[in-house]
Amino acid sequence: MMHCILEIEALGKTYKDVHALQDIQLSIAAGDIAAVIGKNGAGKTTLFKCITEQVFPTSGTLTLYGKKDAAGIRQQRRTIGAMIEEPAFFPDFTARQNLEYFRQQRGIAGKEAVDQALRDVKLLDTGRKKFKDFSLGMKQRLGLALALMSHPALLILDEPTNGLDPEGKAEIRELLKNLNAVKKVTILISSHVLSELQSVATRYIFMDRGRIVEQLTAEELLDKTRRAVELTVDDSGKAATVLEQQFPDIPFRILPGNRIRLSGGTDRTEQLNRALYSGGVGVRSIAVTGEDLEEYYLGLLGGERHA
Amino acid sequence: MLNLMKSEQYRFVRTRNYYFTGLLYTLLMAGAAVILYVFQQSEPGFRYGNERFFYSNVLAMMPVVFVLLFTFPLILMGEHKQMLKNTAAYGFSRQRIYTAKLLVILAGFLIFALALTGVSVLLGASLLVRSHEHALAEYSRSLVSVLPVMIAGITTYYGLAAVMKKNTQIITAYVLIYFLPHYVLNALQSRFAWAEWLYSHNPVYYLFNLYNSPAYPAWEPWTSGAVYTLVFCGLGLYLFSKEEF
Repeated sequence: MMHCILEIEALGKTYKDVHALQDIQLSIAAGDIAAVIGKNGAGKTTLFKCITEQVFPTSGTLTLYGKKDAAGIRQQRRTIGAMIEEPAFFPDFTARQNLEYFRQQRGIAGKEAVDQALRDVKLLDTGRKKFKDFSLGMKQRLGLALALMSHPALLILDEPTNGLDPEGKAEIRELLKNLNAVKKVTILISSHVLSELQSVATRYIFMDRGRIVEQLTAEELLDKTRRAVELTVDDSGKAATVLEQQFPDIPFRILPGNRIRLSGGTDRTEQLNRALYSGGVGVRSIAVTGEDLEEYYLGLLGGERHA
Repeated sequence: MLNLMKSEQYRFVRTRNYYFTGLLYTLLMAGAAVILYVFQQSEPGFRYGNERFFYSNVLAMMPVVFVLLFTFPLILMGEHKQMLKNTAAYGFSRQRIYTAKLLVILAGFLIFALALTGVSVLLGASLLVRSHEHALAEYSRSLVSVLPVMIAGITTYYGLAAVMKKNTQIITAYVLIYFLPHYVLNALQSRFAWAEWLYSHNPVYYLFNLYNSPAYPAWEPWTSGAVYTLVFCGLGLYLFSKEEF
């Protein structure tokens, strides 16, 4: 079992009368790619800012790599690479000058660290172009380069693919997957484009109005959102025998009420119906179910709204 | 802390305003020296073409320099404060950030002041007549006595810049902090003994009286400057430690 590197208990943040975060309980294990999902104002950015001390929480505790005291946590923040909200750099500096400033500040040995970070995000050839003349996508890449430059063990990225073209988004996704797989970097990421998160995340944290409303592993989410065929039959035992014999490639689960959920086979409903009928099983209903991450998220918020 | 200072120094020396300000002051001093030199050459009875008059003119401009000190703190604590979120996220405390930047700004100012003092002495010595033997020594003494007041000014501007967003707000607050009490105390000093004492011990008083032969002991402006420096350094540090990015 992976050990927990970040643990948050009862974290809250209030801006005047607005509760930006309320009673946040969260733990991130080493090696996770945890996707934080929520609409604007859900509290994603505030949560990231609290973790990186860009803002101060009004309540709760934070444990980072086992450290709970302020000085210890601050020391452990050296292992974090963060890009939160829009990247902020000196507008009159070039990409290299901006990174060199932070390289010196962070005491990173060797000027080649700057080149390597720029190479990782494909900004090595920006030459004398100043940050203020960068496109939004280039600014995002430079923000990511800064986050990567110190070889972090934990990456915190808030909307990292904002402003990138589809090719750029795919590159960043690959880069993140690679960092996680090869360098075992733990990643905490948010994005509005949920399909992007679905292709990289191993955990999902759903937020709404400053609260975490659900946490799921990728497997749990897949299980909940998988496209499936749901059958209602008169005899689920008999139906299971037919399915095992004639559709051994489709896994299924028997649910209460003589219902059977098949994980797949959405394009073979007619065959399923015929086979069951031939096997003497009465089929009362047959329906394709399942949803993608976005539908699931909207459903979750809808459920919350009606709660 | 050293790494922080190193990076701030990297930023500081690449800021054009620093050099433009130096160039502007140099041109103003050179203009004054050249005008005095030309008059001295063209009018035989001209009494002011000497080092002492030139130096006293430079010293008389110190209240203006005192207001224009904002150039230095704003280099590192100006409009790009949003960048500090990157520094805070890496685990540097607000106190360290604040202190490192202030030390680099003060070092930059001291180098600037030394260089311009050298330029002024060079201009005076090369273009103008040495009419008073101790002119240079008096000039140096006056500059040294005003140094703590200038440091107080920089510390105050820096503290204001750390918590305020607009430059106009910062300059207005600064002028109110230093010049308003000076003029109010001036109006009150004939009526109240305490007002008279405060008036003659506030930093601006030393600036306005710099070109005269000082009628106060040398430690006075140092003490006054140190008090203002400590108060505004502490206040700025306290307020900045609560800043969120």
